[in-house]
Amino acid sequence: MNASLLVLELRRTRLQLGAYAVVVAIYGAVVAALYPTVLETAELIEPYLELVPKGFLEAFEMGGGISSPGSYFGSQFFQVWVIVAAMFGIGLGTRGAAAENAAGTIEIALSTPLSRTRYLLGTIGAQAIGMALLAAVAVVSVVAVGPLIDVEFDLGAFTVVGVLSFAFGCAVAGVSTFVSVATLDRGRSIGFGALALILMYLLIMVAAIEPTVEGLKYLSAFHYYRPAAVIDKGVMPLGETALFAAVALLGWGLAAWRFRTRDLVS
Amino acid sequence: MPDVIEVSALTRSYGKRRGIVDVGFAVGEGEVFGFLGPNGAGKTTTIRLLLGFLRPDAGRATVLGLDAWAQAPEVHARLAYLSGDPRYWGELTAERFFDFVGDLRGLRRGAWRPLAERLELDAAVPIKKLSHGNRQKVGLVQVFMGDEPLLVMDEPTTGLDPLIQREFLALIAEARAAGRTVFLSSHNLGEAERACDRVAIIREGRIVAVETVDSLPRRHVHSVELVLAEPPAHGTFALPDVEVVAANGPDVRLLVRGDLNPLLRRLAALEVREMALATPDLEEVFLAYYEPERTP
Repeated sequence: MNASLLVLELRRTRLQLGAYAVVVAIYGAVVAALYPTVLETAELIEPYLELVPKGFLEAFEMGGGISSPGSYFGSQFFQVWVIVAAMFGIGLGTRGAAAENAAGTIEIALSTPLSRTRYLLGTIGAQAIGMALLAAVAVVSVVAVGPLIDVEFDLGAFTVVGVLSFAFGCAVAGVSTFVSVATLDRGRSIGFGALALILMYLLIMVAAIEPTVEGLKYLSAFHYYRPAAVIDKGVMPLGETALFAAVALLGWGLAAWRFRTRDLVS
Repeated sequence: MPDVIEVSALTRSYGKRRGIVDVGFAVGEGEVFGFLGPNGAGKTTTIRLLLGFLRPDAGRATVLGLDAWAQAPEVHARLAYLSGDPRYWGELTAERFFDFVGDLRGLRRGAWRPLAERLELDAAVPIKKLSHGNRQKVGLVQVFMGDEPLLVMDEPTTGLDPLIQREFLALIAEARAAGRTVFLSSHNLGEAERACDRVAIIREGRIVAVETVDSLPRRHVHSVELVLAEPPAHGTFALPDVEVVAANGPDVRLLVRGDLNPLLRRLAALEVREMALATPDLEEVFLAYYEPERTP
């Protein structure tokens, strides 16, 4: 990895990252601030939730009712965070190869002694750092509000959710990076990423509603993103985190291989 | 003089689209070599193959003895490149951009400064806020700021304003004096004549000539534009080495390959209202010398 390239990539990411981070921070703080009110009104809300199919509630992290911190933050905050992170991951993942190629700027770096692999590693490094910061902002935005509302959130549990979220975001970025390198077309790369996420969202919804196709949920990345259990039960999602990490590494690895062997056709 | 660039039987297509076919030439150390051809002839494809951006279908390109595709980073350590349509990260200042590129090329920090000062480029301004002329200076500083033995430039003079063009020619002369090798593509023959020692001419993907600048056929080709008092009679310009390129009433455009005197004698018998004699552009040189005879 080249330090200059990494710094440049981070510098060029800062506005995008800043915008996403502000949205996440404000939203996280608001959701956290509303938690006491939700607790007070849980008795009124939960009877309505009982009308919703249990599988559907579990699919969207509300299986434990609205009053448990895991269900509340899992459904109301991290389910939104994961969409934001996916958008961020697709945006960053498609930038290093496809967008720079379309813009004609990729030749600047690649006509220097910097190898294609090191170039891509620089952009991947920026993706990982950006995603880590976005996950950290999500955790801090919730936990920091705790003292203000006299609620003690479990920093350890939320940190573990942060790690899981980081791994999820990296998986999205990894796959996007590979598609970006394979196509060198940012529009198609973003379209593929968005379509894949929508399909996976539909899969988990259909699987939750229709028991005969319940098995489809295993095809959805969202099935493996379960922050509620981490917060409520202190379960370490090692398998899920490892799965996301493996997908990320596979995507980045394939991208590096393909980038090294393909033509750069602008 | 050892060869810095060696290209042999280099072939590359884009699916069904022609790229280049069986291209071969060599560029010696310290030489300024022009790669000439009309748009779409295969100049950029050749340069992209030399830089290892594309993998050849057949043939080989080496730069300083290194394979252009397989050893691209090593090749890039020995050259500076300016693309035909240079794009920059506009949000960066020119200064930051030069430091970034310089760092990747292993140049000392601030290596760009003397050249930027010479070209009167304000490097503290974000590139997107620079004028067109100043963005052209960014490209020149980028390519000339180092000490790599080879400079590769794809149509570097296209759109350059005259003052910058003069600086460009001076920088090329300095590079030559310093023993650096320059490979530049162009579709402007006049420029190539001023800057280059030798040129290769590529047409429809194939090399049609590799010549010293002095032996370029263009010196013997003239474009003649006439406005006559009345449309010429059929066969008026049926002279050896004279070709009617266009005729529209009294307006006639001719291409003369060789001696002008037979034409001048013929014109003496006509009432000529206007006459312009020009050196033809490269396309016309190709038509005159490298294509089968055109039908009048």
